[in-house]
Amino acid sequence: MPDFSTTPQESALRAYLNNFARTEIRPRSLEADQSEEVPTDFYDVARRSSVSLEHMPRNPRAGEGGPRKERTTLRMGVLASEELAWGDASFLLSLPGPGLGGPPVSFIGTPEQRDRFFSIFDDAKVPHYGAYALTEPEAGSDVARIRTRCEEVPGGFRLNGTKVFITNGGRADWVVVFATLDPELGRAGHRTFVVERGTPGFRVGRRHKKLGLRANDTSELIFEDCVVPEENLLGGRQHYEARQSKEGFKVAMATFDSTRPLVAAMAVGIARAAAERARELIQDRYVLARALPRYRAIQAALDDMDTRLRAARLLTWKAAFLADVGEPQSRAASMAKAYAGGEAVRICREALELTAESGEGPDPFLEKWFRDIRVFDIFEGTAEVQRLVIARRLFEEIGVKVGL
Amino acid sequence: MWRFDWDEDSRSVAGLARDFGRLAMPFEREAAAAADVPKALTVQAEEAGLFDLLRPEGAGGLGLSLLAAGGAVAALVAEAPSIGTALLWPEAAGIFGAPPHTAFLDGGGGTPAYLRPATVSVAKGRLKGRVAFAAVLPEAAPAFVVARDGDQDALFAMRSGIGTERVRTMGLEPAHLAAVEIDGEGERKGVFGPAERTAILCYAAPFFHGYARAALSYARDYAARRQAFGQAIGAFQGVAFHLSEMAMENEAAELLWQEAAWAHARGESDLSLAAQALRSAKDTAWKSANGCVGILGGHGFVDDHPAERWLRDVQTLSALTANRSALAETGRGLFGEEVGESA
Repeated sequence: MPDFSTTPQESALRAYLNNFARTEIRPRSLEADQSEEVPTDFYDVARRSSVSLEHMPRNPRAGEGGPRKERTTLRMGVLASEELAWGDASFLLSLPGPGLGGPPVSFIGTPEQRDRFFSIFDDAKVPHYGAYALTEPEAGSDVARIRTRCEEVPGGFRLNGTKVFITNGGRADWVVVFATLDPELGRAGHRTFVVERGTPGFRVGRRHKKLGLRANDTSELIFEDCVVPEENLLGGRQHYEARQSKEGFKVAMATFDSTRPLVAAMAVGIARAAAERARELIQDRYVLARALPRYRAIQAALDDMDTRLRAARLLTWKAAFLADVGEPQSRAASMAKAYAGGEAVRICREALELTAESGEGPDPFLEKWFRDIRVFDIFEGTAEVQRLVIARRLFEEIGVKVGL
Repeated sequence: MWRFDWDEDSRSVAGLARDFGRLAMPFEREAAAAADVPKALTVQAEEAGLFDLLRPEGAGGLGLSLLAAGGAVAALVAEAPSIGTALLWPEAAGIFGAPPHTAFLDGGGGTPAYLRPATVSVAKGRLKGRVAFAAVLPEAAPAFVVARDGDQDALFAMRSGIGTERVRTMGLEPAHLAAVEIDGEGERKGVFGPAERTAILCYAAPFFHGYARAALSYARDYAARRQAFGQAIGAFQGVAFHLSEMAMENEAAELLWQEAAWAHARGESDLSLAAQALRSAKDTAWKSANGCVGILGGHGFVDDHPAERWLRDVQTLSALTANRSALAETGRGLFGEEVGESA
């Protein structure tokens, strides 16, 4: 029977992270946005408070392959995501850890690779990062179009190409990089590598100037005759040979299935922050000074925001639940991401609109969240890509393959 | 910890309702034309126990929770929207222990009262007033009536003093929709407060969800087989994205009413949550039915397909429940009712 409760442990985690976000993230948020850097003292505070990406799933599919067992990993992850993003999503994305690079290493990395790439995070005193490099200037939603080449050379592979919009790319200790043996092979030519910082031929290009999430590093990565050793081919050569082909592409997609609910939860966190802020401001400025019709219009608008926010959270929870119990969930993950992303954008805009007073500048937090939220309808698959995924799954239910 | 799977019993009841819906679907057009559900189907629904879903076990019902019963309602309505609604919508009084086929007539005040004053009141044990639009039952049936009793709403059982006059509607013809004059004595069953109103809203939402599911499935199936410009119209993103949007909205609305019904079943009844859920379900049903008509194009506009009937039905059903603004105000109050009432 559906159950919408949270356990005492989850409620405690939520309360702890919310308190951390309120006392340690929010007060630093506006300045970090202006300086486009998360202040370095934050990392110490986070470490001392035991707030890390350990609250987020490094390995959403841990234990797969054995008997099916229900996990709670992603459900805990979406709770943590919402609370920390409520504080400031830039800070959440800047927390040390493997980031989006974690799931592919977990999914197909050999035991040796998992040990090697994850062990650096055991040293909590120094911030370490992983990153995920898929998007290129000419290939975003259509992953099959990537042009970063990998070419076999003695002892490994030579990479050439450019990746863009890479979260924490400028400071990552290692990056999961998707490349192709030959673009003509399509998805079958894809290979996945872990490229470590300092590898000759690998350099960080420009750091992107962005509409929002400015305190978080988003960079361009450049590979010029960058030779990656054989042991950094994720999953090893046998992984691709045994399965003949589309494993590289599948790794990219499986990553999204597990990370989209987390991104949706972040969008819910930001939208919740905006809705709460709007309520506070309206209560202070408006309510007793306005005629009833105006008051009712505002109340109806806020109620509508609250309803959509609640629905976005429930869709996110459902996608996380399905992942935790091992059910197919790409449709649910896309629904959560598309709905939460789209509605959060609208909620943040409405919050700004409802609180706008003529002659006054916007509330700085609402202004920031209005900019921050826009990317949540874009990254991890645009709104349009999510709708493609949902439509495909709808038609698959009746055994029809349409040419989408 | 939260989860979204169903237990075996609930699945089995929903499966029963779905199977009955599939049986009934071929009779939808006939039922609309006759403005009645074929008698044989009513008998079969009775035998299948569909009128006892919500009724407490002590009153001879299955005693399902609002959540489990709502799942069955949605499953039936998704397969046979008009007949399913005509059969089960009037059975809401079962929630409060009424025998099968007891009409539920809501003449109570809305929340907040300034949006909807009570239309039936009680004086010296006698109920008097009018319910302008309600689903009644074909025969002179007993009714549970919500009426204003002093400064609160209360629920009364009535066996007589109920005069019905069937009204013309734009849709939902198989249901017996009528204006009802009430003038008679009733037995007071108890207070009809926020918890009871919450139950009614939670009962209503899955009907809308059922319509939304029916419309989405029909539009999806049509889009998969209808060819244009050399391919299925579902292959065009303009259509595919529309379907995705409908699917997303349906899922969101479903989870909202499930959460509200779940909270009610746990004794944490929340009128605000239920109002939000019903408003969302109504909006979604309209969008889906309207989208279905649009995807079918000219075929959606004519009665060769059920799409146009479902659009009329949804709008008619919508008029049977609190309107959008009332639900918005009943929803999570920004500053609490007190300020809202007095500002």
